[in-house]
Amino acid sequence: MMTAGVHEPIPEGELVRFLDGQLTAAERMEMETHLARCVPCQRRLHALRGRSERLSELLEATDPAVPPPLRHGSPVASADELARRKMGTGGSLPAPWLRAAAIVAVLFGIGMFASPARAWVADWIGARWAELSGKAVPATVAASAPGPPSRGGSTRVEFIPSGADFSLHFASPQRAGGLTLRRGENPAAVAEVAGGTAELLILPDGIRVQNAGSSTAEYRLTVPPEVERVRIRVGDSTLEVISGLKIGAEERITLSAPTG
Amino acid sequence: MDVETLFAEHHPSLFRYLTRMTGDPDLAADAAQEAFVKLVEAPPNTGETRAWLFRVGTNAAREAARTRSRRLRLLERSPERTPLGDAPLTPDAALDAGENQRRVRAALAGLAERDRTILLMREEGFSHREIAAAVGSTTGSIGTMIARALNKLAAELLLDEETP
Repeated sequence: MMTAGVHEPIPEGELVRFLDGQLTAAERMEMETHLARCVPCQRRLHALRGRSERLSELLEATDPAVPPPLRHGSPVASADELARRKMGTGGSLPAPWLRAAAIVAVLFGIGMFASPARAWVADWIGARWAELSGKAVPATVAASAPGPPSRGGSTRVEFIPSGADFSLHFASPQRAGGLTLRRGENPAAVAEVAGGTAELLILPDGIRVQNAGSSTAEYRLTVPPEVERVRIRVGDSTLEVISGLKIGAEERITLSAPTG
Repeated sequence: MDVETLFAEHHPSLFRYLTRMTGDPDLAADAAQEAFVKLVEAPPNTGETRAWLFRVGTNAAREAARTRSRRLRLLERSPERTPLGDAPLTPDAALDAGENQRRVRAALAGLAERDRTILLMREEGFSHREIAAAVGSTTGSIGTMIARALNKLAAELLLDEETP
């Protein structure tokens, strides 16, 4: 609430409220009347506005270019769009690919927590992503069309990943077992489970492994030459980011729970 | 409003906010995803879904940062397992971009978490009432906190210099 008289300086907090459009109509009128006559307050308002704008510019300039996992377009808003957001009028409509990617991501999220629908969601995601990315659906994915809700995920999957970054996400650390990662020559990524039970779900940028803490399963993942980095996550933590693997080279990673 | 529309509408700004908050795009992506998973699991009763998403995302990022900190301590004892991270850009571009990014992130990290939250939520267009609810303060005090945080950053980030 503004209380300053004509000759009293307006508190900076009130100037910020004015800048941000947080004053009532009466407060705004009182502020404008004061500002019209008070050069020092005009200067302070100008300084606060300049600092706000400069900070916005710096933040925008140093934002990451693309928010994962949506790696096919720029999320950096234009100045106009940011201005509209600040005015509370919302941004522009999302691009069709963004909406489609959002549907994929949300369905995946739902699928993780709705076991009967999980296999269907995984299959649906693979098919939709292949459509969106314009890439042919490999035979192994196309064969897994929507089936009965009780069916589990695959123990071998093959698909063409969407970008240079590949995510391999294990739901849980394991009692034993490990992953052998290989960089192959073919354009498709291939993942297999051996010596245990786990489900492999295809995501736009990688694979989600639905495993259990008691599992001792072994995994083998071959990624295509286009994949530059493989990010391996276990639960909520990133276990490892592997890059620079040569074609034909292999690396083994243990999946048992870290201590400490 | 359905969830996929909410995702399309709010995920970019939530990710941007969390990246600025944590300085770690990977951590921010995970925290944003967790917020949307929670939205699917147990949507908020209030109509302020966007503010709810930012609050849940902030909490998830805070928790993930704690986990990461524990993991980094472990990695210090086993440096051969340290993640390699992203490949560098071209040398000159990487120097400029990296230096600017470090400067901004260091300045933000130097603020108290509450001040950082307030400034970054303001950047995303939240009202002072929504910001106050998120940080447990009064609506009337948010303007003062913003001014104070801006003043703190002004010298460090040269905010008073005119843009060329």
